Amino acid sequence: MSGPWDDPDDPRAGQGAAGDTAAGAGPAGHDSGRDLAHDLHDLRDLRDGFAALRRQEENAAPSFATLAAAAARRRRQPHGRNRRWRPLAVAAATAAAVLGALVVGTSPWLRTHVLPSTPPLGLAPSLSAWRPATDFLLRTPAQEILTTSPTFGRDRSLGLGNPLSTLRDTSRRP
Amino acid sequence: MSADSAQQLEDLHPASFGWALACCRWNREEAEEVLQTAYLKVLDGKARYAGRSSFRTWLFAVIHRTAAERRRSRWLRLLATARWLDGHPRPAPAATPEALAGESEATLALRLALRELPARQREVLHLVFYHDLTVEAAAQVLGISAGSARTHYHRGKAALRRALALRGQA
Repeated sequence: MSGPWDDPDDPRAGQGAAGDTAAGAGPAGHDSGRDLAHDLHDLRDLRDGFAALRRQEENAAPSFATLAAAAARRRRQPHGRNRRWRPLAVAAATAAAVLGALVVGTSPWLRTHVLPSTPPLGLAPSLSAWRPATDFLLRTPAQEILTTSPTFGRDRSLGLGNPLSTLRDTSRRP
Repeated sequence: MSADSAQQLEDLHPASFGWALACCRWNREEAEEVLQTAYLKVLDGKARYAGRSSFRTWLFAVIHRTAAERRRSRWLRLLATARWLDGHPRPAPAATPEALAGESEATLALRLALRELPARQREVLHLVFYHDLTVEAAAQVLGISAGSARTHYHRGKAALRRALALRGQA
């Protein structure tokens, strides 16, 4: 098995830790050789560090039996602490939503600032019925001629009689 | 679950605990809960080994997913203030003084340097160097592409060296 610090995806991993660093080392030379040696030293230190960490953590690990037993206990208690509180949390959230809706719906500030104001409908009839004091000056004689349409046979004021009645009158004459 | 699988689970337990610790940023209490939940998934058959990878790779993937689910649910619980309703606020210390007492300076420096790395880089390095997995197997555990895992591996290694150099450990 290659060492843990070998580059695991490097095909040269089997050659030891050099596989990790040789990829970027370039042509052999004094500088690249020194870099390689430095990298190998780093890798060795890190490998030792990880090995120590692993030893320490594995020693401090709880036993499998303890964890498996705890897991089995949890399996026997499907309704845990969180599930007990869930209905209460749902009820609290619903109550908060209803309260919020009520506050928003009845807020006077909202009614005056946000909601559209209703038009003053009570004022409209009085405005349409209002007449200026000098309105009579515009009333001219025979104004009804301008505001009404004449009707044959009915409107005597226009001097137009029913033409049919005139015809009837003439027909009676000998 | 077969007796053979149970035996494999037990054999891998120390390594699984180490991986759970890394997934939970070395919070021991959280790591134990994650491992319990992962074992429960396996015991109940909610997580089934299909043989597409090694048993260890599969188990580590289950642990990783369980830790991610736990992180998400904890975040949501905090958001919903259910933790406050619970009445048991539990601040999660990263490591207790008792745990740190038996730890050498170099090990502590390595752990602190690892904690500084982005999660993906830390996880890939842990899987490769702590558990001797290949980068491809690490990619399977984390559910990412091999190319992406390779990038995290190289960047993580460089970042870890820098972090250790800053701490005077490299």
